[in-house]
Amino acid sequence: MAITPVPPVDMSGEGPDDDAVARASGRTAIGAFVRRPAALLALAVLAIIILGAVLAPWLAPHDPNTQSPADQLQGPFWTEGGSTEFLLGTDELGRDLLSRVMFGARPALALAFMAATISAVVGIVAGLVAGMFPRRVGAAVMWVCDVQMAFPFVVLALVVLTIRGSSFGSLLFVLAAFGWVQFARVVRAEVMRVKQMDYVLAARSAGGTTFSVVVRHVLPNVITPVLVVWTFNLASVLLLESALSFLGLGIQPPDSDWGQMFATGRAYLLQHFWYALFPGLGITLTVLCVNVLGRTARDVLNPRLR
Amino acid sequence: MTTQTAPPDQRETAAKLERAEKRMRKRTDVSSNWALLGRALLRLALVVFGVLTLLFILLQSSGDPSAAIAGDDSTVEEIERIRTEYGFDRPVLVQYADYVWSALQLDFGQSFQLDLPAMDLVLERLPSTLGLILAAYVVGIGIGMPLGLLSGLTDNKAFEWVCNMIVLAGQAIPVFVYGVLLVWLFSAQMRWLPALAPDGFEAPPLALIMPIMTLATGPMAWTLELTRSGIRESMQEDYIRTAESKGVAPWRVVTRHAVRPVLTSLVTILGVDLAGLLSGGVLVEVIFAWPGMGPLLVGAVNNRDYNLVMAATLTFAVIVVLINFAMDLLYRRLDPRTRKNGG
Repeated sequence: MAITPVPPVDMSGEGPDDDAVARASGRTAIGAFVRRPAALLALAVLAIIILGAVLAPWLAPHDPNTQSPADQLQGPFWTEGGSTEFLLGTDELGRDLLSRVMFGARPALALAFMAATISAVVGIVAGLVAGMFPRRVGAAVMWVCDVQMAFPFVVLALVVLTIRGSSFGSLLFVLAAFGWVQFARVVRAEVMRVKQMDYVLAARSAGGTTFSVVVRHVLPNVITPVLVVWTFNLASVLLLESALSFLGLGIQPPDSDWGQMFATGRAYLLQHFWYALFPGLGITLTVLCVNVLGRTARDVLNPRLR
Repeated sequence: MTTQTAPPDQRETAAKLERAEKRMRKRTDVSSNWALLGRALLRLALVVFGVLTLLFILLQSSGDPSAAIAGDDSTVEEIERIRTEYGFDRPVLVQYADYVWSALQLDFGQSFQLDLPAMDLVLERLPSTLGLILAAYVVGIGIGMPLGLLSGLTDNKAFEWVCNMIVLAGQAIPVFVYGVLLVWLFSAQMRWLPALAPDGFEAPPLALIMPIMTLATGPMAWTLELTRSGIRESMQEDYIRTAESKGVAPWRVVTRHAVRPVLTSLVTILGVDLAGLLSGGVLVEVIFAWPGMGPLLVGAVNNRDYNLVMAATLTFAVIVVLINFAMDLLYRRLDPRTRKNGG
C-alpha cells in the first residue's frame, strides 16, 4: 500500500544529557575557553589593541597630524638615527608613527564593530522572518541574498563609495551591507531546524502567536551560532575596511587609518620599510586575534567539541 | 446492488491512492533532472535580473551624471545638451527599461572616458583576470590539498604546527599586505623577481609568480583546513572500516573512498569563495599593475565613467553567478545523495 508508517523519530538529541555532564564536571563554555592558552593570549592582545585605540587621545605621545619637517622618515628608537622622542619613527611629513598607528586603529575598529553588529541585527531579523515564512517572504529574502552574493564585495563597495562619496557613514553602510547575508542564512537554517522541535510545536499548540514563539523559543537558539558568525564577520570587515582604505576609498587624509597608512608607506618601502610595517602589522595582528577568538568560540560553544 | 457498495468503494479508494502515489512519484521523478535544471536556470535569470536592478538603483541614487561627464568648466547649455544626448532627461522607468534591454544585448554604450564601447574594453581585459583567478585556484588547491591530506592522515606535531600557521596567516594577513611583503622580499631585497607584471600572461614567467602566489594564499589556507578536517572525519566513517577490512590498499582507501566527501565540500566552498577571490583579484591587479579588470574598474570609478562601471560590475556578477551554477551541477555529480532518482 501507499501509506507506510513513519517510524518514530528520536528528537531528544544530545542536548540535555551533555549539559548535565558539562555542568557536573565544571566543563562550561567559559571553563573550556579559559583552558585554551591561545585564546587567552589572543584576548589579551586584542584588549591591548582596543585599549590603545580607545585611549589614544590620552596615551599617544604626539598629535597624529602635527608635522615636524626636520624629522622626516626617522627609524624606530632602536635603529640608527632613531630617537626616543618618536618611539616608532616618523613618516614622510615628520609625523609620529606610533601616534598615527594608535589613532589609525580607531576608525578601523569602530567601523568593524559597528558594521558587524548592524549586519547581525539586520541579518537576524531577515533570517527569522525568512525562516518563519519560508514560502513568499523567505524566497524573496533568499533572492536578495543571492543577488548580493553575486557581487564581488570590493566591486560593490567601489560603486557605492564613488556614488555616495567616502565618509564614515557611507563606509559603515557598505561594510554593514556586506555581512548581513551570512547572518540571514545561518539564522534561517537554524529557524528551519528549530521550528520542527517539540517544544516549539508545543508552544504553538498552546496558542502562542508567531511573534511570541519566535522571541521566546526560536531566538535564544539562534544566539549561539550568531555569536560565532559575528566574530568571523568582525575579522572579515576589518580586512575589507583596510582593503578599501588601501585603495584610497576609506578614511581620507590627513586622518590616519591603517590601510591608508600602509598604502602611503608602500611608496617608501625601499628607504623606510618601518612606515608600512607597523600599520600592516596592526591589521594582521588584530585580524589574527579576532580569528583565533572566533575559532575558539566555535569549538567551545559546541558541547561535543569541548 | 446498493448492498455491494463497500467493496467497490474500497477498491476505488485504493485506486485513488495508487493514482495519487503515481502522480507523486512522477513529480519527484521530474524534479530530479529537467525540472531541477529549469529551476536552477530560473534562479540564474532572477539573480542576473536582480543584479541589473540593484546596479540601476545604485547609479540612479547618485543623481544626474551629466555635469560630471561635461566636465568642471562647462556651461549650462552644454550640460543640458549632454543630458538629452544620453537620455538622462527621460522618465526613470523608461530609462530602466531601455537600460535592461540594452544590457540584455550586452550593449552598455560608450565609455565616457576612453570613447570606446564599454563592453569591448571589459571583454578585452576579461581573459587576463579570469586567467589570474584560475591560476590562483590551481596553485592554491594544488598546494593546500596535498598538505591537508598529509596533515590529516599523519600526526606529526611539527608538521601540523606548520599547517596551522599557514591557515592562520592565510586568513589574517590582508592580501595587499602579503603582496607588498613579497615585493619587498623578492624584488627589493633579493632582486629575484620583477615587482610588476604589466604585461599579464605575456610577461616572462618569473613575473607571474608573485601575483599568482599572492592571490593563491586565500584558497590555499581554506583548502588546507577543509581537506584536513574533512579527511579526518571521513577516515572514521564505517565505510572506511569496511574497505580496510576488505583488504583494500591504504592509498586506495584514501583516493577511492575517503576523499570523495572532501571533494564535494571543496566544490561548494569554491563557488562561495569566488566572489571573495575576485575582490582580492582587484587588489592584486592594482598592486602588480596587472592588465585585468581591477585597474580598469578602479580607474572607471575614479573618473565616474558610469557605462564602464556598469559593464565591468555586471560582468563580474555574471561570472560569479555562472560559476556558482556550474559548481551546483558539479556538486550534484559528485555527491550521489543529491541525485534524486526516485529511489
